[in-house]
Amino acid sequence: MSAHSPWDELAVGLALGALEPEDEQTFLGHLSTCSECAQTVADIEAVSGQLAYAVPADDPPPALLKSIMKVVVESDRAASPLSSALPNLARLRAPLRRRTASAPAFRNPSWLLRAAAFVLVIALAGWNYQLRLDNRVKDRSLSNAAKAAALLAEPGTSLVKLEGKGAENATVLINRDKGYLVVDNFKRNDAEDTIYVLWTQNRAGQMVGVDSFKIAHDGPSYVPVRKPLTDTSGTFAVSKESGRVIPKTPSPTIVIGTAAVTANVATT
Amino acid sequence: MTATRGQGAEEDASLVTRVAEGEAAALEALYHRYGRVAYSLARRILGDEQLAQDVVQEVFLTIWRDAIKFDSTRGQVSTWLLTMTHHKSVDSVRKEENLRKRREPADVLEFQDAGVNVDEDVWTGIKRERVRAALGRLPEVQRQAIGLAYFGGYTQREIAKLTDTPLGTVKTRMLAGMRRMRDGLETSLDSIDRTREGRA
Repeated sequence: MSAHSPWDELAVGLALGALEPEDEQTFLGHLSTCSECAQTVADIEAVSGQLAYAVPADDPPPALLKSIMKVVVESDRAASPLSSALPNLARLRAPLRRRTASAPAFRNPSWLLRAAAFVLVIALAGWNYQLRLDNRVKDRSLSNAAKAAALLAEPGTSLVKLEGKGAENATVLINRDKGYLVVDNFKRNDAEDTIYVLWTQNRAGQMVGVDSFKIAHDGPSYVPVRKPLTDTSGTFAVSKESGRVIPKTPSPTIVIGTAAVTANVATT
Repeated sequence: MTATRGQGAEEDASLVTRVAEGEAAALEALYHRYGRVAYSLARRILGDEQLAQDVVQEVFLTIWRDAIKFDSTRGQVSTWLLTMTHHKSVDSVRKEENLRKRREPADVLEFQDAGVNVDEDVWTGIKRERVRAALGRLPEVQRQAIGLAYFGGYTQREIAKLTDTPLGTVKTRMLAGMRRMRDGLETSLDSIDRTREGRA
C-alpha cells in the first residue's frame, strides 16, 4: 500500500458520492493540489458515469421536458447584464459571430459601451474571478477586452489566478496555446523605463519570460499573450523589470499562481 | 477509461457548445439523448417520481447555466451529465426528510426490467447489459460496496457499519472494484462506440 493510497480511496469515495461531508472537505482541500488524485477522480467518474446504464429504463413524464424548457425560455427573457454572468457571456459571443462577415464586433463596441458598468463573475470549482469591463477603458484595451471575453467563452479555457502580497492581481486565460492576461491594480509604468513581464514555469521547472507589457492607464488591462504557450507547467507569475528586454530570470514576482488541476466535475 | 472521441461524444460536445451559446434547441436535444437514463438513475436512487423529476430538471438547468464550464478535453458530456445526476440524487436522498425513501441495502443491486423497451436506443440496451455484466464479474464484496454507494447513496462509513466491515476495508474494496470495472468496461464500451460510428 503506497503512501498515496488513502487519498486514492477518498478519491473513489468522492467519485461515487460516498464521502461524509467532513471527509469530502478534507479531500477537496487535497484535490486542489494533487494532479494524481484529480486524474483518479476523472478516471473513476468516467466509469461511475456508465453505472447509470445498469438501472432499468424508466420513462420520465412528457411534462418534465416542457417544465425544463419553460424555465429556460423564461430565464433567457429575464436575464440582464448584471445578473448571472454565463447567459451574458453567451450574448457577448453572439454579436461577435453575427458581425464577423462585415465589421468585427471589437471595432464596434457599442454593445459594451451601452452598459455603464459591466461585471462578469466567473465561479469555477469554488473560486471567484471578477473581470471588470469599465466603460472608461480605451479603444485598444476595449478591443482586447472583447477578445479576452471571447477566449473566456471558448470551451476548454482555463483560468489561473495570480496573487501577491499587495493589491495587484491578475488572471491568465489559457486555451491550448492561446493566452490572455487580465491585470488589475498594477501601477502605471508607461512613463518609466521598465516593463512588466509574464513568466511561466516550463515543464523542465525553469521560469521563462513569455511576454512583456506596459500599463498605460488605471483600471484593469487586457494583455494578449503574443507568444504561444506551448511549454508550461501551469505556473505563471508577473514581475517588473528594468529596461525593455525580458531578462533571463525574474526579479521578485509581484503576483504568482498555479493552475489547479481539477477533474471535469460539474459544480453541484 | 479513456475519453473516446467517437462520433457520439463529439456530437454531444458540439451540443454543449451550442447550449453555451444560448441555443435552447441544443439543450432539448441533449435531453432527448440523456433525459431517460438520467431520470431512471434518479428514480432508482430516490425511489420517488417527483424527487427524481426535480433532480433531472435541476441537472438540465445547471447545464443550461453552466455549459460554458464544460471542458471536452477532460471527459465526455455523458460522464458530466450522469455524474451530476448521481450527485444531486444522492444529496437529495440524504436529506433527512428523504432518508426513509432510501433503498434497502439488500435491494440496491436488484434490477428488474419492465420488459423490452421498443423505443429504446439499441446501443443503450447493449450498454446496460455490458455494465451489468461487468458488475456481475466483480467479487461479491466489491459489488456490494459499489452498489450500496452508487445506487443506495450510502457513504463509506455507513457501508462499513451496515456490513460490519472496517472502514479501511470498505474503501479498499470500492477502489479495487472500480478499477476492475474500468478495466472491464474500457474495451467493452469503446467497442460499442466504435461499432456505432461504423454504422452511423
